[in-house]
Order: sequence, then C-alpha cells, then structure tokens
Amino acid sequence: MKPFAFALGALLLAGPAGAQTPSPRWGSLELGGGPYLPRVDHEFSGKTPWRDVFGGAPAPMWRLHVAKAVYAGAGGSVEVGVRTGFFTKPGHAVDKGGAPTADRATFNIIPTSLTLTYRADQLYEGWRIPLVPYARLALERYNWWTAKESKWTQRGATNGFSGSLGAALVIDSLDPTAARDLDNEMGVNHTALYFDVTKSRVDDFGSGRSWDLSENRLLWSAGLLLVF
Amino acid sequence: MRRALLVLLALPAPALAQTINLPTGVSTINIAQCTGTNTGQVPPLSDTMSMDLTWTVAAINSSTIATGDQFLLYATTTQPAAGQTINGTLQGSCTQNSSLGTISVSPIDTLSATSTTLTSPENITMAAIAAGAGISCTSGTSTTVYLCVQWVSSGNAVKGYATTSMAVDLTQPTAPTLSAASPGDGALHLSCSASGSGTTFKGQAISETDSTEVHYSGQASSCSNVVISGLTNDQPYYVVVFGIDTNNNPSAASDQVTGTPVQTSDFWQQYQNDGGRERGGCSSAAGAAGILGALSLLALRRRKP
Repeated sequence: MKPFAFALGALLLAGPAGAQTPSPRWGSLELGGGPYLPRVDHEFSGKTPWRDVFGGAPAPMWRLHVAKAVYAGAGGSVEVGVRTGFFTKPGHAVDKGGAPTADRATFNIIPTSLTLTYRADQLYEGWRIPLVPYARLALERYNWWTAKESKWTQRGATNGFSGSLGAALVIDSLDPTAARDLDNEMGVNHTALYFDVTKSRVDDFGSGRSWDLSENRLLWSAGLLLVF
Repeated sequence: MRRALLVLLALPAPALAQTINLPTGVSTINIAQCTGTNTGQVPPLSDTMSMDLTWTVAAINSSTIATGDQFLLYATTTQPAAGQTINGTLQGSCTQNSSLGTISVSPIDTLSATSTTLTSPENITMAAIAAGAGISCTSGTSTTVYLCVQWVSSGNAVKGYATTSMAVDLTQPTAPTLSAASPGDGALHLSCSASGSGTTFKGQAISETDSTEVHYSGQASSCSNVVISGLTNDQPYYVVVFGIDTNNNPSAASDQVTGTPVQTSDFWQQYQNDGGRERGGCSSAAGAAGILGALSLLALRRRKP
C-alpha cells in the first residue's frame, strides 16, 4: 500500500510535465480487460445451463478501444470510437444427467462497440490533477459462437447498449522526460492507467427471442490509456 | 612461398566424390521395414517399405566406364575395410578400416553400370538390406547397416566404390500406462502417462460385444490428448494405448481399461434442452455490424485540409 500511496502522492504533487506544447491531439487508445460472466442463466427458473457447462467463475474479456476526439476544449473532450475484443470460456459438455464429460465445450465472443466518451480532461490540462474522470455510452454487438470439441455448434450476434463510469490516472509526471520523449517521438500526449465500471444490457433490446449476455452485475475493467 | 607450398602438400588429399544418396528423410530401418511387412501390425502404422537409391562412385586408378561393367550393392553390419574381401572379391576402397576380416555376404542387387553416376533410381526394399546384412528383425536391438556399391568390370576387377550407412532401430518404446478412458460423445478420451521423449501415442478401442469392431485414434503428441472417435454411444469398449517412437516402432499395448461413450451436450445444446429462448444466427438488428462499421469509418475519417 505504501508504494502506491507514494506514487499517488508524487503524481498529485508533481508539476507540469514540461513547458513544451504537446503535439496535436487526435484521439485515444485503450487496451485492457476485466472479468465477465453473462446473465444467461437468469432467463431460467431452476435450470442453469451456463453453470452446468462452464461453472460459476468469470473469465477475462479483453478489449481494445480506439477513439477520435471530436471536441477538445476548456470543458473537456468528447470522443467517438470503436471497440472490439475477445472472450472465451472453456468448459465441459455434460451428459444426460448434467454431469461433466471429457468433451470440451467453449463459448466465445468477439464484442464490438460504437462508443461516445466524455473525458474531464480540463482537470489535468488546466490544473494538473492527474485523476481524469470519464463517462461512456456504447452500442454493443456481441458476436458469439459455441463449440464442442473445437467444432462450431451455433453462432449468432446479440445487440445491446452499455454505460460506463471511470477514471484515468495520468502517469506522465512519474517520468516527465520520458513523457516528453514519447510525445516528441510517437505523438503520445499522455499515458494513463484507467479503471471503469460498466452496466450493460445485451439482450437484443429486450427481445423475447434473445438470451441475455449482459454482465451478471457490473463489469469492471482496467488497462492502459494512451492519449495521442 | 616454398614453405606455403610444403604446407599445402602436407595437407591430406581431398576425398574423391563417392556417395550413395538416401531419399530425403530416410535414415533408419524400423521393425516393420526390417521384416518387410506391417500387415496385421497393431496398431496399424504407415511405413515406407522400399526406397529409391542413386549414387556416384569414385573411380580407382582413374578407371573409366566400359562395356560389361556392373554395380554390385552390398549390405553389412560390419564396416567394410580397405583391402577386405567379400566372397573372395577384393572390396577395393569401399572402406577405410583395414583391420577387419573377410565379410561373407552376397550382393543384394546387381545392375549394369553405364556411368559412374546412377541417375535412374534403383528401388531397394529395407527388408532386402536387412536380410543382406544378416540382421535378425526380432533381435530387439539397434545397429548400423553399411551399404556399399562396388563398380566392377566384366572380369570382376574393382574399378570404383560408393558407401553410406543407415541406422537399424529394432527397439520397441516402453508401453504407456493407461489409467482411464473417459466418455465423450461417440468418443473416448484417454488419460495415460509415458516415460521418455519423442514418442507419439495411438489408442485402440474394441467393442466388448463385437471383437471385429476395432477403432483407432489419430496419432497424438501427448498421451493425454488421445481421443478415439467414431464410437457408438452407450456401447462399452476395451481400450488400450500404444506408444510410437520417432522411427515408427510401436510399443506393446498398455494395460486394458473399459470405457463407454455417451451422448453429450455442449452449452448451446444444454441451453436448448433447458428451453432457452435464443435461436442463434444474427438478430433482428442484423445490419448493426454494417452500421457500426460505416459510423466508425465516418468517425475516424480525417478531415481534408
């Protein structure tokens, strides 16, 4: 805990990374992930097909998000972006009695999203407060397929939407020289660690012919954010 | 300058070009190849029983091809020696070691020599090589077989030679230890262990009710990845597994276990069995992907200056 507190203190007390004007801003890139467990079993009463095959533990959903800044000014920034990723959950096919067998079964998702993000950048750009909150709305499309023994058994896509709240911890001031070099050489204005929580509804907008791939509770994720 | 010339003269003379060319990837004779058949072999394995040989002989005393010249192909487990005789015939420079005695073997092949290089491949079975060298294919040991081509005149004068050697591997790998055959859908997944490296594994399932119904798995690189498929659900099978070494020699069968395949349901099937409402395929918003893609392109498009 002490090293974390020290690092946070250093970030908060650090001055501007340098007097040099940062390179023009285009947008941002996020790479991260978090545990995901869909609500598939919630449509049943007394039956748990997901738990029978995959158990009750979540598996990581990895995400890559690229966004273009459509506004950046004194009131923060607004970005429009796309996001994709990958999720796979391995399990075992079950016999007639519901007992696991040696046959391997998997559930896979390639999530795609169209996002609209607001970042309170002015906190860092104006006052050098390194903790930048953000909010995001997204249209989601989960492209999924199921497999047994590496052979597809079904595939499809389920649509929905989500909302996220998060914060990015700008870490430029940990090494201002490196931060400036990164901007000069790669055009990366800021480097940050992010953490957010997402409430999703991925059930084809309530369709009666769709399962519910929404996160069981809140989907949290963390990763690296590059503003460039 | 003179010293440099002396040094050059002191260097050994370069060896004359002489070689028997084995086909690419062929360097060993295994048990099935030694016996000349893998009919009835358990498990059934694919073995090449013969190979095409070409060679270039090195001429002795600047000999040249003449009418009536022949190539004689010998096989022996004893490294032939210079000045050594085979059936009373001088072997010429077929070897480098002169300390060995006479080798009493007959040529395994004879063909007309029209050039010092044999460009039209001569097909020789591995079994003929093993038999020519007097190898007992059940010895369970490993050895080396030497192939020697002798270029002789119509009067049996040795005019040139070429040699090569092959490993003979007659050793079976250790049988794996099979602990279980777990049920899958029309399949059995084997749990086994084995010692040693470079071994692959093949499972065998024989129906308990019909011993003529025999199934084999593919060859797996790991003992625990052996899956025997194509089986009938709810029918018990006797199961064994074999180890197969890098030279395609199979081990003896492991201890036998029994296993019974069963119908299984993956997540989708289990979901459907439980009455789930999802039907698969693209949803009513099937165009969403296209819309997302188009919007993405618009969003990411750079404005023209």
